[in-house]
Amino acid sequence: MATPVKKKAAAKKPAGTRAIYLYGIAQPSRKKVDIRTEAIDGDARIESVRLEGLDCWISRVDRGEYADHLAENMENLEWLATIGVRHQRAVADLAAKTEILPARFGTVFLTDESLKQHVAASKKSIQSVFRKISGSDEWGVKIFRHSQNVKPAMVEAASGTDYLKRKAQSVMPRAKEDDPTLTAFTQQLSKLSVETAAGGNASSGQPNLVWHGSFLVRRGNQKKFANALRDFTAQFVDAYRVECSGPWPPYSFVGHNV
Amino acid sequence: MSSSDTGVMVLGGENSDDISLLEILDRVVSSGVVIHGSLVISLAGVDLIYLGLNVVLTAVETAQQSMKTHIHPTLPAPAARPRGKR
Repeated sequence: MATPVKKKAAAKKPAGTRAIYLYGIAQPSRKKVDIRTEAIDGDARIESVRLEGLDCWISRVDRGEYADHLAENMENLEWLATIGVRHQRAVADLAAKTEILPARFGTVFLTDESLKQHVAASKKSIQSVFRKISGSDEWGVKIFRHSQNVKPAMVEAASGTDYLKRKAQSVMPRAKEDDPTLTAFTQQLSKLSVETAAGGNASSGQPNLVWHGSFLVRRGNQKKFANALRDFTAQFVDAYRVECSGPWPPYSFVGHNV
Repeated sequence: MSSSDTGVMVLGGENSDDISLLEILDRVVSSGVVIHGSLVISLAGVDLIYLGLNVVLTAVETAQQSMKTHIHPTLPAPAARPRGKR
C-alpha cells in the first residue's frame, strides 16, 4: 500500500527499520559544509559520511516508506511531488556549498556497509565525472512554438487524409520540429557548453513544446550563453517562446551508471 | 519567474520556489548518478509515473491556457503549476 505523505516522520525507530537515503556524493570540502535544508522525509538530519575519501550526503529514513514501498510510493503523484521537491532542495543546497554528483531520486541503501561497497566500486568513475562537471552548472532550455501556428489544420487541408495527418501533428506534442533555424540555435548553445543532454520525460507531454534539453555550462561562459538565448528569442519572438531554468545541480550530466 | 523584455522566461535562480514541478521531476527522477543501491527504481515504474504526470499536467496546462486565451490572447502561457507541490 502506498504511503501517505507525512509532514513529520514518526518517532525514531530501531536500526533494522531504517534505510540510508543518498542525495549525492561530494568532493571533501576544506571548510565545514553547513546544511540546514529539510531532509527527504521532513524530519531526519542531512549528514555526510566520509567513505573512500568522498563525502556521501545521506539521511537515515524509514525503511518501509523509502525502501520496501518506494516503487509504489513513486506512483503516488502527491507523494512523488512532495518528496521530489525535498530532494531537489537538499541537492541544490549541497550544490551551492560543495561540488556534488547528485544521486538519482530513490537511491537507497539498507546498511552502511552496502553504501561503502558501492562507493568503493564506483570510485574511479566518480572521480572522472567530477573532472567534467567542475566549475559548471546545468541550465535547462525549452522552446515552444506559439500555439496559433499549429492550429490551421482545417483551413489548409487539401483532403481528408491530409486533414487527419495535420490533426495528428497538432495533437502530438513530441512531433519533431523540422526547422533549420532551431537546429542552428541549439547547436550554437551546444558550442558554448561542455555537454548537452536531452530533456526529461516528465515535460515531454507539454503542448507545443518543440525542443527541450539541458546544457552543462562553465560559469565563465554563462554570459555568452545567456546572450545567445536572448538574441534568438528576440529574433524569433513571433514564432517561438523560450524558457530557461537554472542554475541546476548537474543532474543530467553525471551519467546513468558510474 | 521573471520575463525579460526580450521574451526569455527565466525560472529559478535566486528564487528556487519558482521552478516548476515538471522541471524538477525531469531531472530528479530520470537523471542523476545511479550508484547501485540495495534498491533501484525499475524503469517500468518510472514510465508509469511519466504517463500519470502527463495526464494530470497536460490537463492543468490546457485549462490555464484556455483561461489566458479568453482573458488576454497575447499573453504567454504560464508554466504548469501541478497539484501536490508544497
